[in-house]
Amino acid sequence: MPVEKLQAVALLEKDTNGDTMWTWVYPALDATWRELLQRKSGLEAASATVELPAFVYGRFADTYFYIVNLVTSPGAPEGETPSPAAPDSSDLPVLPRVTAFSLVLLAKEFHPEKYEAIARLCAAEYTTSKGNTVAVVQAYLNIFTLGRHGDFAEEQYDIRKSYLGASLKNVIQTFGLETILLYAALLLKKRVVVYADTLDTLYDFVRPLPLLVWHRQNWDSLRPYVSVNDSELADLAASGNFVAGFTDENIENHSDLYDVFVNVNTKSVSLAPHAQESLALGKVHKELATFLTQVAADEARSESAVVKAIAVRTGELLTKIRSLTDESGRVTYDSLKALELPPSSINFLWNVALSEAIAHP
Amino acid sequence: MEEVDNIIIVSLRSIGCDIPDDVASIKAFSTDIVVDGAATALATINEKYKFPRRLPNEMSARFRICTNMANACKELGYADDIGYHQFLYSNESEVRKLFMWLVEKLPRESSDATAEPTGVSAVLNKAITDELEYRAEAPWTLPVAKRSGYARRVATIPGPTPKSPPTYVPHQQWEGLRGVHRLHASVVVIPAGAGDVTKPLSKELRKYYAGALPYLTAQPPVRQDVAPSILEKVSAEYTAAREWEEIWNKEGMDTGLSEAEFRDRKRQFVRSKMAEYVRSSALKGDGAGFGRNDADSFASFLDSFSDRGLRNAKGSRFTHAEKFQFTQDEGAAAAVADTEEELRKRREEELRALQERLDALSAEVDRMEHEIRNFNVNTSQLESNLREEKSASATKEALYRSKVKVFELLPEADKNIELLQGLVSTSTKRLVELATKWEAVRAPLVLEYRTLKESQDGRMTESRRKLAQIKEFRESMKQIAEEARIKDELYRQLTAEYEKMTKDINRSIYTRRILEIVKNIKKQREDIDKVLIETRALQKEINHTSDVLNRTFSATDELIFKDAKKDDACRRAYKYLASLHEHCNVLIADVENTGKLLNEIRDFEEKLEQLNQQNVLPNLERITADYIQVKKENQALSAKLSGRA
Repeated sequence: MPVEKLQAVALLEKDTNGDTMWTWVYPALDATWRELLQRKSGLEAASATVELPAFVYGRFADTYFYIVNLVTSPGAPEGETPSPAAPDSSDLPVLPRVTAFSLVLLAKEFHPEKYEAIARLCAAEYTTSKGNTVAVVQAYLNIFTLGRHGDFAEEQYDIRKSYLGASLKNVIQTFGLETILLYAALLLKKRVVVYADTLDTLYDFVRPLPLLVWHRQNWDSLRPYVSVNDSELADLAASGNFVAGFTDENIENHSDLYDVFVNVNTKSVSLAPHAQESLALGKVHKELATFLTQVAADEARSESAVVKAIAVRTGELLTKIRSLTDESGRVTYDSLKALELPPSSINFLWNVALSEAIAHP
Repeated sequence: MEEVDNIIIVSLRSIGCDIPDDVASIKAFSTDIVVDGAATALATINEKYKFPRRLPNEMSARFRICTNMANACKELGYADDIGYHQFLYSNESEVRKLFMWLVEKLPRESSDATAEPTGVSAVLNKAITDELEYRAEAPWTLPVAKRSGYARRVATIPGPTPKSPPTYVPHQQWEGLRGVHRLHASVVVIPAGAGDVTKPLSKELRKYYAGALPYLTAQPPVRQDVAPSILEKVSAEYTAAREWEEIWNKEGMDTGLSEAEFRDRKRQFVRSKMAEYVRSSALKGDGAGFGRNDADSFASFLDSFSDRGLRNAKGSRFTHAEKFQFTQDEGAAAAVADTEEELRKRREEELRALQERLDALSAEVDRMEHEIRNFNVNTSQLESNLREEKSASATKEALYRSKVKVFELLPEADKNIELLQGLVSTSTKRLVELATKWEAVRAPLVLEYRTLKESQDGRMTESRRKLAQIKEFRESMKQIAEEARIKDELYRQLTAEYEKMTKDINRSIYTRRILEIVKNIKKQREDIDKVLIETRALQKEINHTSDVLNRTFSATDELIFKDAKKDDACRRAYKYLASLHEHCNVLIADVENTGKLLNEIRDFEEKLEQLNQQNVLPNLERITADYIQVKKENQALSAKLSGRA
């Protein structure tokens, strides 16, 4: 299978004098993307004290980006040109003026494992060919048209595996009963912001969240890594509901942007003031919360089994609501009222019906 | 001794003693001079010692004055014996001693001041000079801020006609305010760039300068504003330039931009900042903010205006109506009171009607709320639907397009697939080719860019280093200037001091004299040393000779004594020897005695000289004469007394 969803490949290099520069792009990158990717790659910020992340991915507008960072001469101090003849770095001696580089891929698909593999392949081509970009183009085109190049074969990467790329169990175990807030927020298509101080922890907690609403099979709302930056926040705000990850704690102050704020560092979930009402918890929630923790606590259950169990439970809830639909296939508020449930539960069901677009005004 | 005498004479003259010019040493001091000098010196030392500077003729009075003077000296702490005779029958050394002590005691600084001439006009002159000096040195103060002086005084000037009795018109005058105006500056335009010939002015500008622009002195509307306006303009420009320089030094230099670039950037920064500010305050229309406040306050100001108008109009109508009603009610009051039952009924009815209305309204509100919720539901659903549909349609469109293509090609699938694969592979090849070509261009360009960047970085660091150096230099320049200023100050101070000092001739004389004295003393010490050395050598020689003598004598004595027992001649010789030795001893003792006597004689001679110096004899004669005179005076007095009795 060819990988047609690839959009672009680019090289960002950090010179020995500390400057970062786009040295090569195929087929093209506009200024917005360049600026964004430069920020995301962490090349500029990387120094003796700030570690360079090995792999970064995220989404901006309707495109995902995947960045693989490689350090070419780890020991070389800045501003000192290592002589090309000297065997300074055993694995990458070929880029004398570059301390580190990022290989950037843009694609219309969310599949971090696959694109990391492609990016690493391209990066390896680049270094083994001693900085010749023709090899990268060759690899890129091969993968684009044939889905194969070197060790890489598209068939090895199942999209379904990427869904289970991070552990939902871990998330539920971490947040315990508070997971219900996340569940409710996702079910009601609310805006969720996750904050963690390191990128790896962030990915571990952001990625599994859409699994809570498996029935939607929608990963488009996922924005794994967003920075507090005007253009990115504007893009985020325009995208309706989302699950967004941040490593900048300033995001907590932008309470107009989110309904639910998850702080991984303090293991807490909090609601924005304006979302207090719509996410008020009732009896239904309590049951669901205990259900979630029980499912996650079961050692015997695999990840997929946990996801499945939750999906089944959600399905039950939806069936219950659907059973009340009228001839137009929609639920009215009054028919929900007839269930004689406490008002908070009715509200919740109504909101679920709204977000599933089966509510009738 | 003459140096000391000179110093004493100069000092005495400086305090106002009348010493004749031909007097060059204390030896030549007469009694009059001695008394005069001592009296003046004592008066200078302490004002309470006032003695006549000339002795009277009566002997007893003289005696009394001199005794008092001696007592004054004792009071001041003169260590040696002192009495009237030191003044009346002076001898040189004692007088010298006394004057040395007196001169020592003289107050140094105030010698001038105390030596001032006194007198009404002199005092007045002096006061005027002092005041003028003080005024000249004092910093200028605002007349109103002056604490002392004639800051504000009401002077009286005579009326217009001198013949009529002088009518005095009070006239306020402020000291130093003639021709002073309140500082009022107006905007003046100075032709810019006209002085620089190298840069041509634009034609219009030149025309304006030449024809339309009034002269600088004609620009301010009031003539007396000319100076302040120019001052204001220049100082504003100066301040701006200073400020700019400061900013440039502080921030600009580090940026590495040229001055013009930096100025541009600064301007842009300020502009964008202002624009942002305006925008944000405009945006904050209903939040809190400066701009809003202004706008609001203005709006409310306008509102208040219109309100007031309306309220007034309404108010007047209302008051009219009220008045109307009131008068009506007054008329109908009695009727209303009668039908209270009816009134209650009416009220209840009213209440019911209102209640109904309230119910209806709340029902309406409920309905509305429901509707609003429904609308909200609709909107949110429609929105999310729209979003989803949009993305779905995009993907579907793409899919459709590719599928259309596929269907087109389907009839001859195998052939077309092959064709497509060929197309793909050729285009891939072409792309790779292009990439290769591009790489051939790209790689050298990147390399060149990096090299250039590196060299630029090198230059940047170099320029930064130079900037730092320049800064350092500036700093040191400032420091040096400061030092120079301080030194200048010091120099001026010292010169002033020096000028003050040179007036005092004594000092140089003193130093010269002291140096001479020191030189003399050195010479004398050398002489003394020489004599001492000679004496020591002589002593040594004497010792040596006497030793030799002793030894020779004992040897001879022994030799002859041995033979004396046997030989007669030898015995005789021994006897002679013994007597010879004895005589010699006597001779030596005599010589020593002679020396001692000579020394004594010299001592006596010295004493005699001293006594002679004290001129005892003439003094004795004078004393006797004085004594006789006193006796005579006493006799005359007793005769007078008896005559009276």
